[in-house]
Amino acid sequence: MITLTGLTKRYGRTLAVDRLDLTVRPGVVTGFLGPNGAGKSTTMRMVVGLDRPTAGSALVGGRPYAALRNPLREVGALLDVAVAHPGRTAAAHLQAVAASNRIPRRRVGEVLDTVGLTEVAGRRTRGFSLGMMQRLGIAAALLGDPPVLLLDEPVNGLDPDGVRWIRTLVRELAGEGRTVLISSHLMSEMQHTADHLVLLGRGRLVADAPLDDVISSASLSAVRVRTPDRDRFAPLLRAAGWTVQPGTPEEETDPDELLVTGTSPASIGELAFRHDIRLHELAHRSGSLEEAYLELTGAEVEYRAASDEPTTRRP
Amino acid sequence: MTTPTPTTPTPTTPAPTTPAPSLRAALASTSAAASAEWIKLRSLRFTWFALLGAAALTVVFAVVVAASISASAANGYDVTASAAALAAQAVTVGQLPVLMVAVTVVTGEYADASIRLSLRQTPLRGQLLLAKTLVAAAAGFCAGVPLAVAGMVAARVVLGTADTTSWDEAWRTVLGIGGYLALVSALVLGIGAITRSTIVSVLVSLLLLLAAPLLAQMTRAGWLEAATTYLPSTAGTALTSPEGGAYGAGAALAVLAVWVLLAQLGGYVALWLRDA
Repeated sequence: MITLTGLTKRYGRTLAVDRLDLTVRPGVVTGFLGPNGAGKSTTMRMVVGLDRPTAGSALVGGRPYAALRNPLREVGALLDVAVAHPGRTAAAHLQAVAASNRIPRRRVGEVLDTVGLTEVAGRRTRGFSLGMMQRLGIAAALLGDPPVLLLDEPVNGLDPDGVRWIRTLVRELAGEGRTVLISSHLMSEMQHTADHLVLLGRGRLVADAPLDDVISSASLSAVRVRTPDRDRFAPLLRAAGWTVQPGTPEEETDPDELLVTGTSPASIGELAFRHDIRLHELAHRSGSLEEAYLELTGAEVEYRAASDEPTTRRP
Repeated sequence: MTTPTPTTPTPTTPAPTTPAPSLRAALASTSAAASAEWIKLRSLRFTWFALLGAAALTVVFAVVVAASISASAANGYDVTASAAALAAQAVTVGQLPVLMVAVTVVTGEYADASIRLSLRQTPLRGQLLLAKTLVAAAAGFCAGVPLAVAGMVAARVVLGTADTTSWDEAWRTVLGIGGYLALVSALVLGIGAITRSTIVSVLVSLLLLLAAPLLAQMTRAGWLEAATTYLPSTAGTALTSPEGGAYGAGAALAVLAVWVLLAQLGGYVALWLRDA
């Protein structure tokens, strides 16, 4: 469990993290989201004692990181790009990490196996691809078999196979009762991986809720109806008290398409049947995390291109 | 879903203080960190090439000087020399690769940001610095012994009968050079912790160890000459050379120890003050 209480970090005049109060619980995958510069990396660094908080505290299992006897056996982390000296072999890198926290040497072979780097264990990391370096970093994070894991952009540099592997691994780790905090920009992946979401914006907590709650309350969740009898059907739907729109701006505007909110596909189907309306498509269109995220953080983006203006989503 | 609600400003709570670890725990952590530092040191080819380079420099320097003495002797000049003394002299050059290794034990990790991993492994900065220093000093001593032997053997071979080294002198020189390199390694590591840059540390070390005594000699100011007595290089000569120096080995060790302490203190403060 990670507990942040009033956590604040100021760099000169910039307030990077602003009075963060947060509990990251074990047994679930907690997704850490936010625009660039929102304070996610700074927060993670303060949890592992790399930066000293200006105020407040970051505790792991109720204790500050520096008080942990063998910290890597309590907290495993992959922060920034995984770093290892290019002239050192993968095995030597992990052996040093293991020795520093009195982790048994056999763990080196075990984690190399878990991440799939056994064949290149004896190769100097100079020749490693970004994906291999990421996997080495994950291996180092897992070395101490820690109950808490902090992963900052772990899928960075991985191919789709690797991305799926991380998802499985992370869910497995959370299933074992560990505390998993994973930050990512890949919304689609986060939607499949995380159970709980923490959203940061300009150093402040914007959201702290289960994934489903965040998606359903913030984004456009509706039923997509395609019918050649659109002109007849739309008034009927409105008469039933439901909101009708002619499709969303981003999707290809189909002259036959309608988006209906406030009801279920079943009810729409029943209505169509009663009035002899032909239906070519009737499907529930669930909101996406990306939409929810953009909506929630629209005002909080620090670095925005001149051409991006926050668009209003709802009619 | 929670939305941020306006809160009354809470008084900033100081971060919970870290309870002082017991001495036993501290020693255990430091030794674990030291074994990690050793693995890191020995696993780099740079370390071994540096050792080789140091040996080569020492041998070449010793041989060159010995050769000129030998030539003078051959020409009838009544000149003798001690292979041990020549080896000690040669180490002033041969020490450079060894010091580079010591510096990069710290500065190398700042260069590629692997210092963050080290700080996550060993969050107590004093323990991390101590672990690095112990390994660098031990490495310095272990490098000093073969350097001393190589220098002496090479010089002796060239000097032949002109060599006046006794076994006693030889042993003292080996230990003196080993001790000197151990202490100077610790010294430059402290400098590295303060500057965080390989290049700046190397420059400062060169200035301190090689340039300062030369400059002092050139200016001939009275107070400067007095000050040079306490430079690490002067102490080094006193420690390593069988011909002795301004003072005995004990005093030389003390002088070097003070330098080491100052550099280490600076390094500790630097590590403690700054974020990673």
